[in-house]
Amino acid sequence: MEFNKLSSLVSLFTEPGTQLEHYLFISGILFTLGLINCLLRNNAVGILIGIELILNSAILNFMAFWHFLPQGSDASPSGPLAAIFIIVLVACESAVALAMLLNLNFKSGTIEVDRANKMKN
Amino acid sequence: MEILGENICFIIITAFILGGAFLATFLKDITSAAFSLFFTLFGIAGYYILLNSDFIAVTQVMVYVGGVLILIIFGILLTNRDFNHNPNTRLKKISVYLTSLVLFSIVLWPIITSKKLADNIKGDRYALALTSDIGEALTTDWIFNFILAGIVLLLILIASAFLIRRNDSSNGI
Repeated sequence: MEFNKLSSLVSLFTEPGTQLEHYLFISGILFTLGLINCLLRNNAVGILIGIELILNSAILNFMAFWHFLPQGSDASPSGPLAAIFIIVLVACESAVALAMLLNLNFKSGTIEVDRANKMKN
Repeated sequence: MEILGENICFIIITAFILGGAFLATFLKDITSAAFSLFFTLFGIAGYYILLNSDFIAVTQVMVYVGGVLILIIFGILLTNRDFNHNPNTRLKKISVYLTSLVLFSIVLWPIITSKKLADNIKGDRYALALTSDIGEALTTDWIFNFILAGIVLLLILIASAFLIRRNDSSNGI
């Protein structure tokens, strides 16, 4: 097992140009922070913020893998198209989440997920 | 040893993104967390410019910063916050951090050990997406997905309006 790629992460400070690993590393950090956000927040809006971070890291992965495609591969803009469709889904998800939050707040008087544990009545 | 402007831009944008994400995760106040998410979303739009895709950067700013973040702030302002909730126990915090660390290691492992990745990234053809390319692809090869996205958006619009209605008279559907 070789760890020669650690030098590639460091190469941001030594060589010109960014590489795929840099984007993947940042994307991994964003995913982890979003996961911590989802698991530790009691507020439902905080969980929504965590989901936004996770989805952003997913889009960043799509774009980075598309941008650093090997030579001679397909030239269609598949990465940006995947990003567009994920962004559409994120917009839908936020709208529905806001509607559900307002409904939950109207029905149970709180959006703390520990206490709002009934679905109907 | 020379450093391009691209590297400097990447480092500055990364500082914005990670600072915003850390603040959004570890700030107690939910309003401050939502406002610090602003820096993260704007920084990711900067990444998309570095990745040669201006259209996605503009879309990110318009949809995320102009739409989703405003929706989140509306969600904070329209719901009542009570501050006497029970905080997380120490056991829950430790288990969450351990789980996240394990998952981050799993994500990081292929990045630092894969050799195939190293061969691929040395190619000097970097992909470029013009807005006309994206429009052409959306109306030819990806037309089914495009129409499906439109239908999903319409359904979500109707569903949100249905969810949010005041059900005072108890003759709901």
